[in-house]
Amino acid sequence: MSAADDLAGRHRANVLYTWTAQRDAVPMEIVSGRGARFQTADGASWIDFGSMVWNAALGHGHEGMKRALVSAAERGLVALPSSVFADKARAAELLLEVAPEGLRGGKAFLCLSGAEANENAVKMARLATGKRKIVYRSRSYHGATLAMLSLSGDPRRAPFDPGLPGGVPWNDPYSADPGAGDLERVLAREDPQTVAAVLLEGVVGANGVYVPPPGYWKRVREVCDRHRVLLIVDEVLSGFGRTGRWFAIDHDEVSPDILTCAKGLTAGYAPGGAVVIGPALAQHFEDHVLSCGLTAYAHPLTCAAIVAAIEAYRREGLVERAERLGDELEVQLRTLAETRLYVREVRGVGLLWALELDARAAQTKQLAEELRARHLHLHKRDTMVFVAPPLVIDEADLRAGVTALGQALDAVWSPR
Amino acid sequence: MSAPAKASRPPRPGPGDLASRKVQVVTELPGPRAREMIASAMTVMSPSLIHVYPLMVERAAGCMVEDVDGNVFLDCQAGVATASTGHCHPRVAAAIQEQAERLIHICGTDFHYPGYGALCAKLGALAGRLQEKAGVPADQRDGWQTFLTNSGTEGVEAAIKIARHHTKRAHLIAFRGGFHGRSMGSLSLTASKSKYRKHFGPLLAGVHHATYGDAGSVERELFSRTVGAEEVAAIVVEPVLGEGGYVVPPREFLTGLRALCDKHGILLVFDEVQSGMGRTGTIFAAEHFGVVPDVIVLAKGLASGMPLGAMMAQKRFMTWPSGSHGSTCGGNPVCIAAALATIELLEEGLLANTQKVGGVLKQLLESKLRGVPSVEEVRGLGLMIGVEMKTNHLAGAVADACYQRGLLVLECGEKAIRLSPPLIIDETQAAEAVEIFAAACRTVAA
Repeated sequence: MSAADDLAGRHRANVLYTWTAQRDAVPMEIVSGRGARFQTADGASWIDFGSMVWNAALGHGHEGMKRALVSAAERGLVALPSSVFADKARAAELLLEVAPEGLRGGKAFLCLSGAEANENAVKMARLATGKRKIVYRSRSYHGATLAMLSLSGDPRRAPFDPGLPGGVPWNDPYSADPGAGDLERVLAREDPQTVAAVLLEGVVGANGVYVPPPGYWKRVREVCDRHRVLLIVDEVLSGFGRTGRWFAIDHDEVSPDILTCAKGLTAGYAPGGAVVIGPALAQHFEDHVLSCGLTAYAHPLTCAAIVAAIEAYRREGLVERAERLGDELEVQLRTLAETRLYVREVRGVGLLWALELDARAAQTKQLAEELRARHLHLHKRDTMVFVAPPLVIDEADLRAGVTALGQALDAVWSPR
Repeated sequence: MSAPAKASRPPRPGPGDLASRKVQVVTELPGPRAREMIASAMTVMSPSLIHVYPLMVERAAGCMVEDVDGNVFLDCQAGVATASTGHCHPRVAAAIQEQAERLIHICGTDFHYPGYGALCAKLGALAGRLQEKAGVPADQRDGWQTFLTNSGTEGVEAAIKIARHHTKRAHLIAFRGGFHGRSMGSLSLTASKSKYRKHFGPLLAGVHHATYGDAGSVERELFSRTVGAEEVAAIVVEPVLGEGGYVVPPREFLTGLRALCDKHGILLVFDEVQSGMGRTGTIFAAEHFGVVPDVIVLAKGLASGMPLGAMMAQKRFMTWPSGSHGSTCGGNPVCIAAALATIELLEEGLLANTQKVGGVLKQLLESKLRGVPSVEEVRGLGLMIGVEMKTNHLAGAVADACYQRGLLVLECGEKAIRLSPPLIIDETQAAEAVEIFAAACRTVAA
C-alpha cells in the first residue's frame, strides 16, 4: 500500500468530509503548486479553475504569502483579541484603503471566515438600528452557519429550517426591472421601520453567477437610504479583484454601510474574514458595546496573511489583470458555447463565470469524471459549471483550461 | 540604378497614413471620377462580375480603403475575407517585394525552391496542433502533406481528386448551403445559390447533397435512399458556412460526420477556404469543434490576398503517385513568401486579436441591434460574424446603406450580412463599424 493510499485511508477512517455522504467523498492529496497549477501525490499537474474553494485568488505556492506566514509564525504570538501588533493595525488600514470610498474613516472587524463575517455584520446592524428584520435574496448564499443558512436562498438550508426569525426573502431576478422597484415593495410590505438591513452578495456566486446590471447598486442604495435601512454587501466570493474591481459593488461606485469579505482576503493561506463598517456605524460603537467577539479575533497569522495578500494584489496589479483576463475568458467561453447547443447560457464578469448546461443528473456525474481525467479542478452545481481561476493565472493556462473544459463537455454531450 | 528611379516617383502619403484614418465620405457615392471610370470599364469587362456597389478603389492600407474620389471606407469584408493581415501589411509587402527580386516563377510541380517545402511544413505543424487540441494521442497523430494551388476552388478540385484516387470510389457528398467554388468540379459541390449553377450543367456525376447542420440527414436522405456509403469517396463540408450564411453548426454535426466517415472509410474534407487561417480566432475553425478532418482546403486569408490555395491531407491518404496531379503556377514563390509572412503575423498576435476584437464586435452588435425589428440574429466565431436580417431585400438595403456611410460589408446566405474585417482591426474601428451598421439598419427599417 502506497503512502498516498494509506493517507487517504486514514482520512476515510477518521476525518469527516464536508457537503457529501462520506462514501462519495473525493479526496485529493495536493503536494505542491505554483500559480494556477497544483500537483497531486500521483504526479498529476492540475489546472485550478475553481481557485480551490473560490478563495485561492493568489494561486498556489505564492512566495510573498509563504514568507509572511513563516515570519509571523516565528514571532509566535498567541491569540488575544485585545492585543496590539503591527500586522493587525496594518491589516485594518489596508482594508479601509481598498474598500469602497464611503467606508473610509470607518473600522474593520477581523474574524475567521465569511460566514462569521456575515454573522457579525447582521449582529452589528441589529445592534446599531435596534431593528430585527433582514432582507435577503431568494437566490443567495451567505455561509454554512445556522443563522446564515436561514438568510440564504439556497437549497442547503432546507434540513435546518426553521432558522433565525426575521429573515425576509426578496425575489430579485435583476433582469427586467433591475431590482430596486421590487425592493421598494418588499420594504413597504414589511414596514421599513422594522427592517435593520438588506444583505446582498456583490454577485450571486455559488447560486449561479448572476451579475447585476449597471446602475443596480445605485438604485438599491437610494432605496435603502430613503427608508433608513442599512445596506450590507457580502463580498466574500466577489471581493478582492474577482470581478475585475476590488469589490463587485465598485462597478457602480457605490458604498455599502457594511461590507463583509473573506476568501480572497487571505487567499486561502490562512483562515480569515472581515467586516468593514463605515464612519457612521463606527461612531455608534464609540458609545455602545460591540457585543461581538471570538477567541481567535484578529489572529496574528490571519493578520499577516491579510497584509501580505492585499500587498500582493496591489504590487502585482491583479485587480486590473482580472479585468483584462476576464475579457479574454469571456470571449473564450462564449466561443466555446457558440458551437455547443447544450450550453444554454454563459454568465459572468471578470474571472467569475458560470455555464448553464442542458444536463441530466447522470451527465453531471460523468462530467465530474471527465474533468478529473483531464486534471481540471472547478466547481459544479446542478446544471451549472463555474469558472473562477486564480487572478494570477497566465494566458496559456487559461486557454488550456478552457480547452480541457470543452473536451470534457464534449466527452459527455457529443462523444465521437 | 534603382535608387534614383524610386526617388523620381511623385511623393504620396505612405500606407501608414491611410491605415490610421477614419471613415470619411467627401463626395456623393459613387463620386464623379468613380462614376466615369466605372462607366467606361463596364463596357469591356465580363458582365458576370457582380460589383455589389460602385466602388472604384485607388489604394488600401490596414482596414481602410480609399476610392479614386478620396472617400475613405472602413473595410469589414477584407476582399471577401482574404486580406487577413489587413491591406498591404508592410511585412507582407516587404516579403513579396524581396521574393519578386529573387524568383517569381519556376513551377513547383517540376522543380524545387525553398518556400514550397517551408510552407508545407508550417501548415503541417499547424494541423498537428489541431490534432493535439482535439485530444488525438501523440503516437496516433499522422503527419500532413500539402499540395499548393492558385485558389480555393483548385484546392477543392485537388481534394475531390485525392479522395477519388485514394478510395477508388466515385461518389461525393456535400451540403445544401455550402459554397466550394465555381470551377466545374467544385461547382458541383456548391449549393448555396442556384444562380451559381444555372445553365452550367450537367455537372460532375455522383455528387449528392444533404442538410447542413444535420449529420443524420446523410444516413437518412442519402445512404438509405440514394447512394451506398461504401461508394462514397468523401464528405466535403465547411465547418462554418461561408457564402451560405456564416452559420456555425452545432458540434454534433461535425462529430457526427467524423463518426460516419470513420465507420464507412470515407474521407472527411473540411473546406476551410473562408473559415481557416485565423478567421475564427484559431488557425482552423475545426479547432472550435475538436474534430480532425482527413483533408483540409485553404486559400483566401492564407497569403493575405495573393492568389494561393492549399490542399493538405494526412499522409496515409496521400497515396497518389508522381505525375497524377500538378499545377503550373500553384505554390508560386511570391505567394508563398506572402503566406509565410502572414502565418508569422497570425502567430505573433493576430489570432489573439481576432479572439479579442471578434468578441467585442459581436457583443457590440448584439447590444446595439437588440430590438431592431429588421434584425433576427447575430452569430459567428472570431471575426467571422453574420447578422441575419428579416428579408433578403433588407440585407441588400443595409449593405448599400453601409456603403453610403463608408462601411464595406457583403451579403451572404439568403438574407444575411457578413462582417469579415481584416484580423488586425482594433476595438475603436470595431465600434465605428457597429455605429455605422446600426445606423444603416435604423435607416432601412424606418
